[in-house]
Order: sequence, then C-alpha cells, then structure tokens
Amino acid sequence: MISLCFYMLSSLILLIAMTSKITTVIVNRRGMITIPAALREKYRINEGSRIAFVEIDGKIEFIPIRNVEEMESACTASLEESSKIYDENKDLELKLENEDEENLH
Amino acid sequence: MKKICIDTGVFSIYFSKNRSANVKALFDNIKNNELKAFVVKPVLIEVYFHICRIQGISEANVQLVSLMHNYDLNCVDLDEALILNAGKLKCQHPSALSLVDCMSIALCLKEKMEFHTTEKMVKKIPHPTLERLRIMKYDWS
Repeated sequence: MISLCFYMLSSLILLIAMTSKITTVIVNRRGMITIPAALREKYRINEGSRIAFVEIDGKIEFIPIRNVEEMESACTASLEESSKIYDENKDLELKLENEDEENLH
Repeated sequence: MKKICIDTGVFSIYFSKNRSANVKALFDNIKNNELKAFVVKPVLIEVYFHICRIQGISEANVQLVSLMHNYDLNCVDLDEALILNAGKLKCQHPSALSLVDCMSIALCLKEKMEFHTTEKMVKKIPHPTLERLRIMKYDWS
C-alpha cells in the first residue's frame, strides 16, 4: 500500500515536472500560432524575423533564420581551430573511402 | 556574370570567427549578385558536419539554413555526366581526392567554372584533365 502511494506520488511529480516544461499553443482558423515569448526572447525572434519549417523524423522543426551579421557573429571557432577540424574531417573521409577500396581488393 | 564553384574548405573559413578578408569579400560578392556561386549538394553536408563538430547539431541547423537563405547558392544535383566524370576522377586519384572533391571538380570542368578551394593537392596532381581546371586557392591564415 505504501509502495503504491509512493509510486503514484512519484508519477505525479514526474508528470508535473514534464508538463511544466512543455508550452502548448493553439492553431487559429488561419493556421497561425503564437511563438511563446520565452522562446522568442531566447532565439531573438522579432517582428519580421524569418523562420524555416523543416520536417525531420516526423517532427516539424522551427529554425530561425539569421541575417548575415548574426550568422557571422555566431561563429565561435578561430581559423586555426577550424583548419584543424577541416583537416581531420578530410583525412577521415579519405581514409574511410580508401579503406572500402582496400577491402574490395 | 562570372560563375564559380565553392568547396567545403572555403565555407569552413567563412564559418570561422576571424575569417579572412578574401573569403568575406567572396561572400559579399555573392550576396551582391556580382558572382554566381554553385555548390554540389554533398558539400553542404560537409559544411554541416564541420559546424556540428564545433558548435553542435542545433547550431549547424540554424547556420546552414541561414546560409542557404542569405546567399543565392545554386545547389547542384548529380546528373549522369557528373556521376561518370566524378567517378572517373575518383578512380584515377583515390587517395588524393575525396568523392566530394571529385564531384565539385567534375562540375567545374563541365561548366568551365573557376574552383574556389583550400585544397593544396588539386593542382599538384599530374593529369591532363586537371590542367584545364581553373583554381582560386584560399589559405587558412
């Protein structure tokens, strides 16, 4: 009995914790929705901002489109870091492509 | 309008915080419609992977979608001629050129476009076909 109560209580806490993170909106007659203010603020979505809708794995993703200045200022890697990662990717790609060829022989 | 083809390395320089002036100028020229830029679609996957390794999947999604909306990039699908020519290049230079390099080079040769790349290897490959390739080389500094 005690364990059943504990189970119900923990399920309720889990449900509250999960639902408190999900914001739902209602689609109006014209198919429009309001993006929650917290998300607009977080992703700097203002009037006139463009958003891409992309269907991925059965979900619709809203991807905010940055302008050129925002896009450029969002880059964090230095040229040196970027060059290192590019070389690693390239080496890996060539290695994998040629491993396949070696395996064929 | 001059037509050019862009390689992954050039995009990778562009997506660095201290991008070089010549790469910034290249993208400004594309934005202002002074250059017509072409890219084979798999290059964009490499660009995504590059950003993803640095900043994660969400940021790669946003940056790649923003890139494609801000710049009028002509994203090229592979047709029969490109597949055969890219395949031939890969057969001839398996360890020097990646499959994606081969696709871009095949496109440049077909359309007589200048190849904008960071690759040092391409011009060093002794091959009559590649001698016809016009290259604009960018450095990582």
